[in-house]
Amino acid sequence: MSTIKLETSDGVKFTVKTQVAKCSGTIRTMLEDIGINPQDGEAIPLSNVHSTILQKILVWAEHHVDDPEPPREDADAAKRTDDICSWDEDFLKVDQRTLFDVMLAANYLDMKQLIAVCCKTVANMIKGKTADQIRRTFNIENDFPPGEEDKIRLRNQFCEERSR
Amino acid sequence: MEHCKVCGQPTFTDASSVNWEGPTRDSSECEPPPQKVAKLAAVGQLTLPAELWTEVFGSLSAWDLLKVRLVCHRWRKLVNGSSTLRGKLVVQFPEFIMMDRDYAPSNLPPASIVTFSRAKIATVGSWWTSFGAGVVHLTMNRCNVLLPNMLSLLKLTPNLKELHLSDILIDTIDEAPAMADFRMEQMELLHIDLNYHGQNLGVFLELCPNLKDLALLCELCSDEFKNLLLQLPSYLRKISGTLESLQVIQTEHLLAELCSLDLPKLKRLYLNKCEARCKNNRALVEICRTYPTLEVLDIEDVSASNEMILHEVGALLPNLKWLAVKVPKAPGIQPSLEFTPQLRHLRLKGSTFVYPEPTFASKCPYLQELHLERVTFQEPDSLRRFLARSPNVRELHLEECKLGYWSCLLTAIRTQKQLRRLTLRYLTVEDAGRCCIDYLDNLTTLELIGFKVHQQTMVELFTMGAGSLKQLTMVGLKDTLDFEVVDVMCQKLRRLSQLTIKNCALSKEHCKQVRERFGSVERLIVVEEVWPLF
Repeated sequence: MSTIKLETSDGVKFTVKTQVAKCSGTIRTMLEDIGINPQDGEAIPLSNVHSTILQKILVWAEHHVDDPEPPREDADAAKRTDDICSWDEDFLKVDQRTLFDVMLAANYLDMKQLIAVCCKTVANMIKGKTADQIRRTFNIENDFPPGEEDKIRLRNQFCEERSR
Repeated sequence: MEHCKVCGQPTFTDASSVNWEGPTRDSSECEPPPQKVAKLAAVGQLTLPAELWTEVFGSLSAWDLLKVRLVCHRWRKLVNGSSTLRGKLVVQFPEFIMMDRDYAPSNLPPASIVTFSRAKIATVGSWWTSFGAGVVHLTMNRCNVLLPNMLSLLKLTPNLKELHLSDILIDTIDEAPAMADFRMEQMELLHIDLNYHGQNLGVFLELCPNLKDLALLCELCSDEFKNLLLQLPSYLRKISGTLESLQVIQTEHLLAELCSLDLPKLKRLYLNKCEARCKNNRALVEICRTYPTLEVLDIEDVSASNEMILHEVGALLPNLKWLAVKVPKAPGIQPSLEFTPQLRHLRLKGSTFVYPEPTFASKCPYLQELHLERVTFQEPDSLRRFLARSPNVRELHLEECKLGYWSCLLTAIRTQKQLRRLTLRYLTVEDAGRCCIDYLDNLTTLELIGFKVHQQTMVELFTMGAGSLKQLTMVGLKDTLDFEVVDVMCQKLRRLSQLTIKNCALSKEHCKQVRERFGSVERLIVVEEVWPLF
C-alpha cells in the first residue's frame, strides 16, 4: 500500500496512506495534476494545518475512505441537518475552537463531505435560538446601535416560515 | 394554531385540546440550556470565512435566518448578499388587507417569496416598484383583483419565475377583455387552482411565452373554466418548445388533443379527475405512445378501468420513474409493470383491490418510494415477496391496507435495509406470532397512526429503529402505550430528536416519564385531546 508524507504547520510529519490522503481535494490535485511524486520521500507541506487538527481529520478520512461518491442532491435535500450519521455526530462532539479549526482545515484541504457535516453541526447550534442566545453561543458582539435591532425586528414581522 | 415566537413550534390555543403539565412550549420554556459562556469567552471570538457561514446558514429555516439577521452586521450582510439565502425569506402579507392608494408598508425585508391571502388589490402603490423587482415567487390565495391591477402588478415584477393563483377572483371593469402589453419572459411556472370561477385567466397564459410547468385545476368545472380548457391546446402549441410539466383536469377533448400535439420536452403529466367520466380508455395509451420520454405519470384519478393501461404503460414508457395509478376494482385482474425497470416511486391506490400473486412490480429493482393505499394482501407472506423484489426502498407508506399478521408485516419490513422512513396508517393487521427483529440501521423516521397494536409489536418496532430513529410520531394508538412500552421507548430510542405523541391515552405518570426522559429533544409534543361531553 502506497503512503505519502504530510508536514503540518508546526513541523510534525505524518505518514498517510495515499488513498486516505486523497480524501482531500487539495492533496489529490497536487498528486494527480501537478504530479508531485510521493515516492521522493519529500513531505507535502500543509502550512495552514496544525498537527492536532490534521490528526483528527485523518481519523475522519480513515473512517470515510470507502464512502461512495455522494449523490448529487437537489437543493431541498441539502437543507436537512438531521441526517448526520452517528459516527460523525460523536466525532464532532468537540469544543467550538476545535470544530472551527477542523472546518478551516477541511476548507483548506477541500474535503466537501467533512465541510458539509461540520456546517450542519454548526447550523444545529443556531436552530431554535434567539439572536441573543446565538451571540452567546458564538461569543459574538452585538454591533447594532440601540434601536437598530428593533427596526430589523420590525421588518421581520412580515416574514413567516416558508411552508412548502 | 399559533407558533411559538422562539422555536417556531406550533402552539395550541384551541380550547378543545388540553395539555397536561404544559406540553405546549411557551417562550420561556424554549430557552435552550445555558451555554458555557465563561469558557467560550476565554477562547475569544472565533470566526469562519464568509463562504463557510453561508453554507451553515444554508441549512437553516426562514425563521432561523431571521434570527441570524439580528445577530450582527456581518451576518446580516451575509444573508442579504446571498440570493440563495434571501430566496428563503418569505413575506406574507396579513390576511384581508386592502391594497389601495393609502397602503404603503414600510420596513419590508428583501424577500423573493411573497404571499397574499384574502387580499383585495385595488391599486398597486409605488412601494411595489422596488420591492416587486426582487420577487421571484408570488402566491395569491383567495384574492380579489381587478384584471388591469393584476397586470400592472405583474408588469412591475419582471423577475417573477413562479406564480400560484388559488381561488383567485379576477374581475374586469367592462366587457372588453384586457390585453397585456408586455410578456413575462422569466416565468417558468404557472399554477392555477380554483374552486369555481375561472373568468379572465386566458390572459395569464398568453403572458408567459417560456413556461416550463403549467397546472390548471378546478374543483367544480365552471363554464368559464371549461372554455379555458378549450383554449388550452392552442396555447400549449405556443409553449411546446419549453413545457416540461403539465397538470390538468382531463377531458375527452383534451386527451384527444394531447395525442396530436408535439411537446418534445414533456416529462411530467398529471391528469386529474373531472366530473364527467372519461370513457376513452385508449386515449391514455395513445398519450403514452405519443410521449415515450415521460418520466412522471399520475393517473390516480382517472376513473377509466386501468388494467389495459397497466399492461401497456411499462412497455411504452421506458424512462418512467414515478407512477401513481389506481388499481382496478375488478378482482382477479393481474396488473403488471414488468417493463418499468427505471421506476423509483410507485403509488398504488386500491379500492377493494386484492393483491393475488407477488408478480406485480416484479421488475422494479430501483424502487425507492412505495406508497400503498387500500390494498389487501391475500396471503400472509405476500408483502414480503412483493418487497423482496425491490430491495432499495427508502420510504414505505402503507395506508388502510389489510396485511394479514403483524409478524408477517415486520418480517417484510426488516428485509428493507435501506429503509429511512416508515409510515403505517389505519392498518388492519391481526396480532399473531413474534418475529426476530433486525436493526434497520438507516431508519430515521417512523410514523404510526390510527390503529391498535399489541405491546410486544411496539417493542419490536422500537427495537428495529433503536440505533438510528430520530423522528417518532404516534397518533391515536389506543391501549398500546403501557408502562413497559414507554419504558422500552425511553431506554432504546437514544438518538430521537423529534417526538410527537397525540391521543394515545397516556396516563399522567407515563406522560411525566416521557417528558423527563425526552426533555432535551429538539421538538417534543405530547397532547391528549379531551373531547367536550355533550
